[in-house]
Amino acid sequence: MNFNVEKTVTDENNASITITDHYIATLTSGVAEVSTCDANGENVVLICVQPWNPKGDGTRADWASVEEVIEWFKTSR
Amino acid sequence: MPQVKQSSKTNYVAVFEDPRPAANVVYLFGDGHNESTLAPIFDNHIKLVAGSGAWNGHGRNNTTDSALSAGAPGYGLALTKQTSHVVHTTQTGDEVRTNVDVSWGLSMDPNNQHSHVKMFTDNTTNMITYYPRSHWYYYTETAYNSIATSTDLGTVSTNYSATTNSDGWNGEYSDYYMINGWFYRDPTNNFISGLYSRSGGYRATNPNRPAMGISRLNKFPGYIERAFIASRDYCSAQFIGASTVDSRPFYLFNDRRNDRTQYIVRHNTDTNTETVVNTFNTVPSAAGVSYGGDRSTSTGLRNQIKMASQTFVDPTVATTQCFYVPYFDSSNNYVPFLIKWNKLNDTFTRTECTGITGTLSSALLNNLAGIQGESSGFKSVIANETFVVNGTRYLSVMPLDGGYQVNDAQATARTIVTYSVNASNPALLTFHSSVTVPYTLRNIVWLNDSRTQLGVITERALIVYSFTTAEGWVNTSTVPYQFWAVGRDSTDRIWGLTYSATGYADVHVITSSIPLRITITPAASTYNYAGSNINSTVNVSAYNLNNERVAVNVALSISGSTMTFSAGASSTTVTTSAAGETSVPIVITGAGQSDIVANVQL
Repeated sequence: MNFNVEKTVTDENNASITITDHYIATLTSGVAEVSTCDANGENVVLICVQPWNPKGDGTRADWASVEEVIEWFKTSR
Repeated sequence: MPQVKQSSKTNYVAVFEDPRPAANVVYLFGDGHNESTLAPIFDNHIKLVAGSGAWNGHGRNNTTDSALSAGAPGYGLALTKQTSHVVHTTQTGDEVRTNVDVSWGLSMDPNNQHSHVKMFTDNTTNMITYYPRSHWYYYTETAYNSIATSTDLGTVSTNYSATTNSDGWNGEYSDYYMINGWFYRDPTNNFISGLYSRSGGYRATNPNRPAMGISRLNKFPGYIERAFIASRDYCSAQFIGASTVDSRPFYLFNDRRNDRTQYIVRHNTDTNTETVVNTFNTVPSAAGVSYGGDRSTSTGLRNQIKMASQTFVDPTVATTQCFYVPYFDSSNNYVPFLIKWNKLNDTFTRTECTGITGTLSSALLNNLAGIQGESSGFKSVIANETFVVNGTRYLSVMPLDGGYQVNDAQATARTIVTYSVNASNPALLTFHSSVTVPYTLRNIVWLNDSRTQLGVITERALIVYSFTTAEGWVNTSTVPYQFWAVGRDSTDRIWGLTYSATGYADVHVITSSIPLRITITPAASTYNYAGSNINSTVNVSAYNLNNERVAVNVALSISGSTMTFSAGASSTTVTTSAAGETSVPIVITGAGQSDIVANVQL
């Protein structure tokens, strides 16, 4: 599943701009994988292999869905 | 303090140490010198450039208020042990020059420290990497691939160079990837692991937002390219160490927007992917002395980068490593997290050190200037570090700020607080001592491996402290120069770059045998000359960086006509003692003032 992470930064002209990073998430046999890609979904590079959901209290849980993977990934980027 | 060399050329790294142990060469402004004797080596110049290009400095030695100066990390000093740089800017606000160089803390592994020049080896083949970086988007990087132990660096080019031109405009916005350090060669697959900062937009601001991520050098012993894993917004990062299960390295990511969010991330070097091993971001509850919660970041301590301590072995479980991460509760008291790393299965747990006996920190450490914005994410830094003295572990927490004099008027923003650690439970702390540094702590540098000697770089001086169990951090010497960089070489000799009116840094070197202070004390504070000579003495002593007496030849000369040494001499040479004062006879021969001038020839 393709998704984007957007963040607001300041550009060279001291103006506020939004930059967008493009990703693809998969969940196969309980293992989540996240890859970077370009805006067209091409040039895919795997960057994250996540066999568990690292919960905020330090514990681990199984992934419920790829949507949960995406929500988790976005929180730290 | 011994000055070794004035700048002889511009745009060069002032001191570059060959990291190969057998080399025994140090390059001063690019020219080779015997590292032991500092004697020049004829026709030996380091060539830090790939291919057949001209000699290239890959460094800066100007002491001007510039992000690209002797105070830019790695640009002034490239040594094999910890080195700290300071850009002595007069800026105070949201400006890149105010960022603190946290090189001293980028590796938490006491056996594998961060350095800007580093040798990687598989015990057959060597590889040398060197990267300096500024707080701006400027950086350079170079490497010697498959460099033989016997090969003279002065005779070969590097095999790879990356500069700011390597990245740049990505089609949508400028995007730069600046290495923060290469730390570790994974012996299983020969990739080298490190950290980087990403600009992702405005090149000046966003690397300091911060936005750090994991990087991979492809591939030992031949540096061909760098590869990057997506950075984490607003997170600083530190290398924790390597697994003993599968040899993979671990990193700590720490969010600057609150004190409670940390990620433990494994670098799968073979595939250049990462796996988040554990996440900790729950809001601490009130317990023990802790009020828990999220403190305000708009008042009090304000927004801070938090640097975790070095790792150490759990006193009760030999297969567990521990480290401390700064956390301040909602009452601004330091109640650090203790994170434990189970080395048998590579899992991490976090507890809060709520069992603190004695004084809490907020009365001593508070009212910090704080981070001012996106360009200055590293401007204000809370460091905590642990060390052992006489069998007892201690933990010190200290506030750093790269802004010009920003904490000079606020004593609580210049105070280091120290706790002792319970021998069997490292989560139990007892207040031990505090010391207030006279000026804003622009940066720190550890002056020995055991971290019991601390150099604090201020605008006006390098202030040296040694830790004693009786008094805590004790000021043993103050070196009244403005230091732009201080670090140690492989022999533990201390190098310093200081401001010079020439605009380019002077190079100084300090060892424990070199005196920093000479005292001359007459037997009487005044003499009443009544027409007859008065025989008396002066006591002479020399003290080193640790405020210890050292034996050294001191040349004394008398300026004035009312005093002589023995036999009417106006000059003499005396050897000081490591045990006590050395008495030198003098004769008062007239009324009026005379001075004794001391000079040490090293």
